[in-house]
Amino acid sequence: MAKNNQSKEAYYVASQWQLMGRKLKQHKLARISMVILGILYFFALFGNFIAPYGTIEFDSIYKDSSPTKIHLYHEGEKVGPFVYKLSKISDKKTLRVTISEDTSEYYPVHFFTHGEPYKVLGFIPCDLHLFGVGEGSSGGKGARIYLFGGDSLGRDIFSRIFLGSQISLTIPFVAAAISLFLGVLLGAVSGYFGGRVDFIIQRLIEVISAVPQIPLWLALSAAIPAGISTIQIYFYMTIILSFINWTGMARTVRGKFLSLKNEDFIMAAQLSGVSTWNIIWTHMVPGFLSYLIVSVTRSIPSSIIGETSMSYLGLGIKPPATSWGVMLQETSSVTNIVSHPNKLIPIIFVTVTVLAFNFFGDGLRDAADPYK
Amino acid sequence: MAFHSHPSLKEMLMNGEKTKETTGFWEDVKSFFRSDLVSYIIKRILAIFPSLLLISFVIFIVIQLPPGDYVSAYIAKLQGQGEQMPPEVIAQLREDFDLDKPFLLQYWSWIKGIIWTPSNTSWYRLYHSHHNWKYSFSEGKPVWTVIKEYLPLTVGLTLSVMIFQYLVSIPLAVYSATHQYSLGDYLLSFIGFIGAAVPGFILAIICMVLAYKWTGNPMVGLFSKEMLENGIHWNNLGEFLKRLIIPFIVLGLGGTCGTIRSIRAQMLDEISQPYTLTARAKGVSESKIIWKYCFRAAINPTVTSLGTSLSHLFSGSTVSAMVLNIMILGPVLYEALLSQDMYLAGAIVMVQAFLVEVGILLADIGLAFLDPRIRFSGGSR
Amino acid sequence: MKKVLVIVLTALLTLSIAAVHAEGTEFKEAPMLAEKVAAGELPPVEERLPKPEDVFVVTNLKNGDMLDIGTYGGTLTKAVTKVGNWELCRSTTLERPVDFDTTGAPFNNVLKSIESNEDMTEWTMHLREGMRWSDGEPFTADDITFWYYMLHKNNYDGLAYWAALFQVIDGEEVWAEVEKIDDYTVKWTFAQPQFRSNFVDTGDLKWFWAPKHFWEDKVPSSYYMENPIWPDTGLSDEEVMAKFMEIGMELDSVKACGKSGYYFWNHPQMPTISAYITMNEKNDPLVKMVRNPYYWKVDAAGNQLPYIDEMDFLIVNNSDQAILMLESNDSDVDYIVANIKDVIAIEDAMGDGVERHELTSTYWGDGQLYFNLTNKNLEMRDLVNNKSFRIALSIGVDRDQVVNLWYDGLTEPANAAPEYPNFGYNEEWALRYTEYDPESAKKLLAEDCGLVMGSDGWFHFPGSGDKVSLSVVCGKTDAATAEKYAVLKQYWDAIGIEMNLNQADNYNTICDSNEGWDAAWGENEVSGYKIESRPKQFIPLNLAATWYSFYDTRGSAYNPEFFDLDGDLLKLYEVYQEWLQIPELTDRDEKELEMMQILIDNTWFLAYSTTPSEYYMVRSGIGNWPESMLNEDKFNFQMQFGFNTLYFK
Repeated sequence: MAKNNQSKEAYYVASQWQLMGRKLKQHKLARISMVILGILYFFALFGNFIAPYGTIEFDSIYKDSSPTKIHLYHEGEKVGPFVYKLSKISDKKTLRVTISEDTSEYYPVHFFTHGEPYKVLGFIPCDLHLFGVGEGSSGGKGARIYLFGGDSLGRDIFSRIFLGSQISLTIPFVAAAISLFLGVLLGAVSGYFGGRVDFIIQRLIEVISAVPQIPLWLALSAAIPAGISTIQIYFYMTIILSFINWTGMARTVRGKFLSLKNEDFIMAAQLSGVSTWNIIWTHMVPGFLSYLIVSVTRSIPSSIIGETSMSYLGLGIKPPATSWGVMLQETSSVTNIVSHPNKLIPIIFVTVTVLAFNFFGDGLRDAADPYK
Repeated sequence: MAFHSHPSLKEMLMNGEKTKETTGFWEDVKSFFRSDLVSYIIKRILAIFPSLLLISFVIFIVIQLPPGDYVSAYIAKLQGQGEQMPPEVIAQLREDFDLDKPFLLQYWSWIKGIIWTPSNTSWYRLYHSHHNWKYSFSEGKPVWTVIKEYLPLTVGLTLSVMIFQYLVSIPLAVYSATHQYSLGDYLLSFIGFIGAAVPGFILAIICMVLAYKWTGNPMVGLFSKEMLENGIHWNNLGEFLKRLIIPFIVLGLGGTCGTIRSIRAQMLDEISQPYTLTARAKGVSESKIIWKYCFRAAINPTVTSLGTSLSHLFSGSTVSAMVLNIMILGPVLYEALLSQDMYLAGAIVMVQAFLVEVGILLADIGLAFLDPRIRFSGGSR
Repeated sequence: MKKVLVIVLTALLTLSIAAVHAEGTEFKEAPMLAEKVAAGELPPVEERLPKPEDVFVVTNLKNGDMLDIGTYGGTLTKAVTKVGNWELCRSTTLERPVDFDTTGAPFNNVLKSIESNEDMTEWTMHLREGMRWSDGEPFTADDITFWYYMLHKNNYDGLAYWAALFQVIDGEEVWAEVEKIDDYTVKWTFAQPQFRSNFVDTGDLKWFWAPKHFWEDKVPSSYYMENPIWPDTGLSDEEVMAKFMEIGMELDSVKACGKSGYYFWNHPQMPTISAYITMNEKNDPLVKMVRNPYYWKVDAAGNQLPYIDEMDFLIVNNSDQAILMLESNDSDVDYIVANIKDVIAIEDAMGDGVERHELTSTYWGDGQLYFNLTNKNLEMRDLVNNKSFRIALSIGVDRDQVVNLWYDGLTEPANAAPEYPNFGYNEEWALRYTEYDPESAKKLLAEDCGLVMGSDGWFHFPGSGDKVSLSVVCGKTDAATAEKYAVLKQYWDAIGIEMNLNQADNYNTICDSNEGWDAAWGENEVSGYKIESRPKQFIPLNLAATWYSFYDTRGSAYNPEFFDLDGDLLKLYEVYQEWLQIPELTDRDEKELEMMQILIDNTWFLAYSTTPSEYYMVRSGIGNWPESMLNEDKFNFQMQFGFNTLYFK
């Protein structure tokens, strides 16, 4: 009885955020999505560790290879997980290339091996990888473990997915953050001050919304100067993506502001001499912050698809960096996919991420809804 | 032309004059299109044009952003094919295309031509008399000729896909809402989410691969060669419909899924309202409750978003259309942007923006009409 | 008496008519044309073809194979990606005045014969009597003189001038004069002797595209230039544009009107002497080309060519869709460029249903790299002019890996040199500096070039201390090119030289301005069957920005602002001038090899692989398709396959 009373008490004094959190946990799909997203981002953070190879390790033998088979038995006896090296024969007359496994020696799979060096978080040098393939049983070299197969230049698709996720998963966040900032700022100004200011900003929003998205992206990305570093391209892309998305948020914020503006407590604040900016930030914004967060979360999927589309068209990330969209470029040829269906794997990742964000956003929205 | 800040259509209608009570559908329609509504519609249409002007300026800036211009890309292409281009020829080309003038002057001469072209020269009299959309560099034809070629298919396909979207999503959404937690509901939700998550062009490629694997014919393009020669008749109608399957799926799936989800959510809200309980207690049939009351209320936000869904269709279809080889304005715009064929690109964007705005206006009118509060009262509450 | 006379006259008349008929019945025509003749829409075939002794009889394909006598009928379908001006006609029907077979030997084509006087200052062209344009009007000397004075010399056609028709004397351009001797003979008069090799054999005499009867009311007064034959038309610009409007061509300026004719195959309104007539505009989703009833070639059995009734071109968005159409039997032919995987995929999918025909390349290697020798940055200029630097960039790359990554091992490692089996092929040339030795490369950079290895792993200039970083410009902006380049870049990174790729559409402008490029990759590559086809690409004077437009300025002037030619570049230029002075094309080989030797010795160009061939994938059952050919501009690239002689078996 006391416990019941205690939890009821806790419920009544719980803050807005605690209430939201509790309701969110009850939403099954949102919980699963949170877990999935957590895993994906964890992998992105430790992508260099998980991926056995880098983004520009070319290997001509493993060009367009199918996923490497992991064997347990070599010539009848069990030697643990290992792979065979591939051998390739090119016939110049028939133009055929035959690839087969060279079963003369086996290459055991090791865990926590040393491989391509990288920097954790950008500055801690390290060269440890989760798994990899070292020397062969007879001292041979050159075998590789490509869990998802190789792409058209012989790079490991598995590695590129995890390394690419570092870009594909973070660009939408940064873009969403910028959109949020711009949207709140302009929406607040527009809603609070009204009149002329409101009018101009509204027209601006209308214009930007009416211009079809993809051409705007195209035109803007064609304007990205050539030959600049990956980091710079990254920032240009986030700006371009956020540039389109902020309009929706600004409209919502403005709507909320217009309705809140006439509330009594605002008038009270004004009469007490609270400064305009204080009113906006301390009194009005928290009122619909939860709603905003939901908006942001739900805008991330469109940014993901946007970045994927731009990179697919070749307008975004350039080598040596990679993202899921860049990897999808290879799928644009039907004949390519029919012979190498493993190249479609990045789609699964994109889809799962978008779905997870969608469900999570739905869960958040349900949690933030005070009427449920 | 003055800028207008127009009030919401609903507010305006509800604050208007009260008219007499009416019965019957056509009387409703007639009383709906009152004089102040008609003038409001005209004002809204007129207000589209300043927006278009602003859009044209924005797009003009954006097109000019990348370095180089159409001539540089053109020359590069020619030289790749072995044609030699001395510098005088290149400079001449630039002059012909007005590309050596400063930016604002180019924009002004273009806009001026669109709004009104003086017809004092005999040449313009032979040409289009009042609106000169200038020339497409890459196609070598007047811009308007190019747009005219692609416009019918673009509008036709887009409208059909939209209608298809709503025709499909409404029954499915209502079923899903009324049979919540059933297998059908989960299945539909799942497909819905997948459809919304996979980018359109990827879906296009997957569909083509599947079509190729299952039937051996990937059905590239909407029209087979025979259809291009002889047009669509009864004998190749079946083939044409078959070829429409993949484009409809690819172009419509994203929107369909979104619509299903939103209608379903709204329906769930409405069904749980107290008035349904009351209606059931009073003996109103279930289907009447669902369709006449809940659905009418639930459809509200969907109709509101008609405009944005139209805009999404236009832009989202570009890459998919390129993959599927469908000749609509999207790919043409893409090519024009890449080669910096600015008059063509600017014109296409303006046409699309115009269509979107008209769509929004129609949606607003339709919505206001649907709302019985406006239709019957016509006056202030 | 009178009766006998009448009988004799009648007999004579009948005999003569019979004689004419006997001659005429040699020629046969396609059934679809025969129907039209029977319906009275077309004149009979004898009247459509030139005089029997002037008719062109095709006995061999261009590669020397005998021509099979084919059967009439059928439609050839090809899927083409969205095109510029060339795809359609260049693939099918261009007819040159003098054409070449695959050994480079010329044969008269549109012209019946061409000869010169003793000192080669006068050249006489003989046309084929009775030859007609596709609308039935005769092709006469007027067409040539009108074209020259009213369209070309006055630059109404807006093109670069045909180098065959003028000479540079004392730095001045002196144009030839042409006069009409009779309806089927024209005579060209040059100020100085014009060698046949410069006039006819270089392929600069492109094609005749301007029928007088079409153009005589379409040349405005504003473009008139004094000439001995044709008077001013007196037409204003607006009237000319109105005339074009009447025939259905909407153009925005009179300049565009003049330019429209060169690519005559894009306009169905223009008459032509090609085997096929276009029926609609380019870039319509379906472009049809129908046989020309007035085509002036027959085969050895007297059948009027072409055999195939119609050519259809379907416009698709990318090459992958074209392949799919071939595989699903919607098209008959596909042309694959640089993608051997597609060739294999098609063969696997279609088995015996498809044949492969190869076009071997004339490029001096693939992935060519060259440097801006007139770089404004003096340190960079010294560096790239240093041969050891170029050698280092060559031996620092593992060509075996490159060849495998780019082409699955189906090409060979090579440096920039003529490829087998083209003229000038030399194994030693092709393999020089191809060994993989990064240590020696670093040594060369440190010792011979005086660069200093910094702590960041990159080489720096000794003087300024700046990192050695080259901006490599490339005109192809697609991702596949970037990936291809990245394979090379990793090796250059490993030896400490930074080479950043700048993919820019306007690379030509960049190169011309001499700003912002240190090297160029994959553009303006050295290629060519022999030097006479494209001297500009053979003489690598595009190394030096000042000489970039060498071929266009006819070598007559160059901008001394940047630098004077010296050393081996000057020697190369001098040998080229000597080469120009040799009358007979076949005697020039020695000088050509001398020029090649200079190029090879200087290693101005680097390449990393031999060039993969391009392929025509053709549905089986199409006859007279040559087995393989040389992909070369002089032979009109793919056109040499001879679409006018194909037939369905």
